[in-house]
Amino acid sequence: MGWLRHLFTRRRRYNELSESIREHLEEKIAYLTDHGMAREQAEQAARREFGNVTVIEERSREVWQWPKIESIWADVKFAWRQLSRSPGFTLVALLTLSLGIGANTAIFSVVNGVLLHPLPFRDPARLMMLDEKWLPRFSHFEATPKDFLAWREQSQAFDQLGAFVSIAFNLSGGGRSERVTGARVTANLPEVLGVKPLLGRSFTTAEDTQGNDHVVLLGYGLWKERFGGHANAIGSVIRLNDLDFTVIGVMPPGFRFPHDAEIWKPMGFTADDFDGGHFIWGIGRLKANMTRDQAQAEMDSIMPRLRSPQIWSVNVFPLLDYYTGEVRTPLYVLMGAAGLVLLIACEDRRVKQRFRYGRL
Amino acid sequence: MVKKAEYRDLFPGALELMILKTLSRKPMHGYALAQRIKEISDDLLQIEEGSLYPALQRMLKAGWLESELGISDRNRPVRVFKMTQAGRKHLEKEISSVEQMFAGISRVLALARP
Repeated sequence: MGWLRHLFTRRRRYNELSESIREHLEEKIAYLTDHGMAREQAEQAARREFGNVTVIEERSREVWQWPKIESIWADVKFAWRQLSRSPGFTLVALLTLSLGIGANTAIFSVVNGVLLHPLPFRDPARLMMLDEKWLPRFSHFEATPKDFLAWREQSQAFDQLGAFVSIAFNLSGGGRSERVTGARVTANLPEVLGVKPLLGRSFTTAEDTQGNDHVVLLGYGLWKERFGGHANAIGSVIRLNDLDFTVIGVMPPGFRFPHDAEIWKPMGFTADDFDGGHFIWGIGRLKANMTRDQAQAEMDSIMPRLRSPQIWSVNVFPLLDYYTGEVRTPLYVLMGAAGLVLLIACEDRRVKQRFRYGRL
Repeated sequence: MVKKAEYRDLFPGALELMILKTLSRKPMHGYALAQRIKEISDDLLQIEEGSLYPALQRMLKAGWLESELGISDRNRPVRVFKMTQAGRKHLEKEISSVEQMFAGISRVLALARP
């Protein structure tokens, strides 16, 4: 921290400097008077040979100051004078630069929100999505409940495997009804994601069966809105799609898995669910010593055993890809492009300015 | 922009080099240093005595010099400038780079000769 030390010793430096200069002049005057010059004349001669004491002292002091700040300030003043002299040029320059900067800011905020912000779950990098593919027709397709149950039974790669499907509920009561986005989720889903209810409890395995599944978890926003954020919401009954459900818990703010969900009920597979329809997504937390490739290989060995001839196989991919999917690469490309635009804008201004002032 | 009128140097760093070279023999105070440099540079460097001081401050800041209290030839207490180890290293480096430059210039001149 040299500059800090200089800052504190500057006063002493200045005094020493003034002293040195005074000593110098006195020495010189003494020399001249020794050689027969009158005191007054000697003083003048000494000063003449020394130069302008004030200016020299000033320049010597500048050594200890921050020339960068001073010259930046001078540059700013210079730029201001030049720009105010030609408002048209200034306007175009400002517009190009602000467009370039604006585009960068806009794209970066998207990239930041989508790609750089971690998902709000425990150790999100270990969360893997599982869906099915049938090439060449479908590279990503929902899974069947039957396949999901087989994965859950046979897979060793995951700590836990869960499933979900987004659905909309008609929430009625108090003389009004509204459409609420929600999800059917396996009982273990909050645990897979590593999220605990803010209030109340999560689902039990028993509740994840048909007929016992009339319980719900509320999203934080819905709880605030419908129950005014009161704890007595737990245990109360709400009507969803004209059926009664008991509220057993409230999820923390920000939890809206998978997409803007505000209410969750247990999966509770019904007989209809097993008619072969593909409609659920699998999600699993990799065991600590497992990798995505190992999980993929395991799934590749499970699927041929389930049906012969095999039609569907499984994709194992990071949860982040589920959200960012195919936009990831285009987004980075876009960010790079916006950066280049700004670069070109800057360079263009510089060249035009040099051209203006006849230096090109 | 900060004006740099005090640089009426033979080449950049010539004044510093001369100061270091002079102080490498013995520590000196400002006045003596100025006289000595005037003597050796003759009229090649038309410097005002005062222009030594900004250079001295730069060199103090760079750590090539130190100042301490000493006694002048006239037995007055004065501030004396003394070369540090870092200053000695810098001097050696500068001398060798100047020598290289001279070698380069003589070569170019030799080539230019018909």
